[in-house]
Amino acid sequence: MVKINSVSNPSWSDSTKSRVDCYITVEHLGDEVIPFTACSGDIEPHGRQLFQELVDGKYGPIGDYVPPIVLQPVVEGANTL
Amino acid sequence: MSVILGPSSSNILQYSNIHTQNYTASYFVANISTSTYDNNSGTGPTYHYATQDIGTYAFLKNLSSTILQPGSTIAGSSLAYATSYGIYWEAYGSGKTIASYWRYATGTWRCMGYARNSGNPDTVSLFLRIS
Repeated sequence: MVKINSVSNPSWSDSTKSRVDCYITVEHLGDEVIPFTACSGDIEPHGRQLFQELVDGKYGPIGDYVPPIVLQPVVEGANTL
Repeated sequence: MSVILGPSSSNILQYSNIHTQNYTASYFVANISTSTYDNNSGTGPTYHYATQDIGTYAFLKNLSSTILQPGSTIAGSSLAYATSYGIYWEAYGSGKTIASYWRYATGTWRCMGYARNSGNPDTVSLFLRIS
């Protein structure tokens, strides 16, 4: 299983609180700080375990969910009357 | 040179290399611990990777406001499974084109191409799960 060395800045990924975004470092990537989405339904065991630890408060309070800014699709080549 | 796949129950790969001209020879036997032999079809090693396993690729849509370049990393919550055209709206049925019906990724992914940010037509790229 992936060995997680550090966890920081947890925040909810969605309004239903089914996923948590955070930043982690892992043993196999050295000091590189990477964004990570922890989820109870993750196929990888370290993802499921980290989600439970985050919910249990092991890494501090989880920040509120911030909805992303939804940009309108760009339609290229469209004609305007 | 010859490569021999060992008995189906042992997962042994045998490799030998005999170079008679230079009077050199090498031989090794390795245990392929990550593979199994398909006893039913007898077709050789079968690798059991599931969708979202670390080390697997996926065709994902960039939902973030950031343009992704080759090598950049992104959290799974900013990625959704897609077709080359984008998210397959029709798969979710009429009126189900909202984000709550999308299939999001988990973990950490590395972008293996370019993916423009949301709002653009070319936001889909190939990603590799790294954690």
